[in-house]
Amino acid sequence: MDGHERSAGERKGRRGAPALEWIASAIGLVLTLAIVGVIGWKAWQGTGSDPPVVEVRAERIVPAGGGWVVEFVAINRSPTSAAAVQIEGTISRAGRELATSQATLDYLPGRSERGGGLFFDEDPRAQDLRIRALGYADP
Amino acid sequence: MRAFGGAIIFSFPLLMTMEMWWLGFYMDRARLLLFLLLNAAVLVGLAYFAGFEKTDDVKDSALDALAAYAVGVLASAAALALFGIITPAMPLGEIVGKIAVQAVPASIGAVVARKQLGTSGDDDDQDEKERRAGYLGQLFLMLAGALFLAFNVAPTEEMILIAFKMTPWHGLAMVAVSVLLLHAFVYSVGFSGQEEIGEDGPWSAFLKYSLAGYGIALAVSLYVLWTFGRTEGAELTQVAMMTAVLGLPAALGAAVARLIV
Repeated sequence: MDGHERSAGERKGRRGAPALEWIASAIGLVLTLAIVGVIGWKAWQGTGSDPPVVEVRAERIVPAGGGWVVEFVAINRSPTSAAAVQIEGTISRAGRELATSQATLDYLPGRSERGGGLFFDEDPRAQDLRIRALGYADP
Repeated sequence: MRAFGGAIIFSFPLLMTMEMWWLGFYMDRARLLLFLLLNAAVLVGLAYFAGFEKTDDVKDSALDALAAYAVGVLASAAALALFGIITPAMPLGEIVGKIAVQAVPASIGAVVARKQLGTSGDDDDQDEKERRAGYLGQLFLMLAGALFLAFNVAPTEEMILIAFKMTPWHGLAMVAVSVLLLHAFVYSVGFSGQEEIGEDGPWSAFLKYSLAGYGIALAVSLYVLWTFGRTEGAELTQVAMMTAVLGLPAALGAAVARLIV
């Protein structure tokens, strides 16, 4: 009881902004719960042991310097992340390979996408263009 | 001179980090500008609490912050030139970008140099000021600490690599460990006016400082990740994992802000 009375005065002074304390604590609580919620939801679903599933798509073909650049987007459909993803583009005509180009994506996180570009000397628009992922490493 | 010393010591790990050099030229310019403005605001606040000169009003603090920023820029430019990272052959945009990014930790180092390297003669005065600032001031110090430590590790590739290596269970453990560490520091290191903490029971201190502090740490982590373009094209849970990883150093920074500052 004594302690209670003694601190009453200090407490009043300190309670200058109790609303602020509540707001700060509430924001902290909301952010913490949000991150626990998002990660917990993923933990609940389980990442399983699915391998990365990489889909590559040509976005744009633009002339660059003396040749062309094919901008691509690699999309990882699986929740598992991949590292050192090698992307190879091949242009061919009538079943005969004319040129190949390669690019490496350092990281391709699960269910995420990353972009890059492949350089060609020939105009890929006039030929048959194929882009695919060659392989990956576990991060 | 003391400010230069602080700038060099605080920014040395980052001056020798190659990701920081790359950030200088690939970082989104609008985000870099926003980051520099935010840094300026943090510098003014830090100058008020722990400037390298005794400051009494906002104008003085602003001048101090500007001086600290100038020192940060000069120290970064000198160090980067010494390492051969910037050469006259480079385009101006790249040179400016590299220096601007490095100047952030360097200027923070410059502004807290007085507290770290100086004599503690007028510490009482500063402590008095911190006490007057009250709860909002404590939150600010936590923010500055979180920003500094998060910034120190955020540019490295290891941050995202750790996030990829962890399972979601690791991520949840990371969150729990961060909050516990932060709370332990709040108790043992103590903020100014520590005797007030715990008056309303441990839960009040937990909510007021630890939870609010972790909220700040998470917000700062997310902001820094966004600034460095780590959130681009990444799924929500990936972003959450990265934030949790960076949240650990940020929480530690928030917790020991009183020691650093």
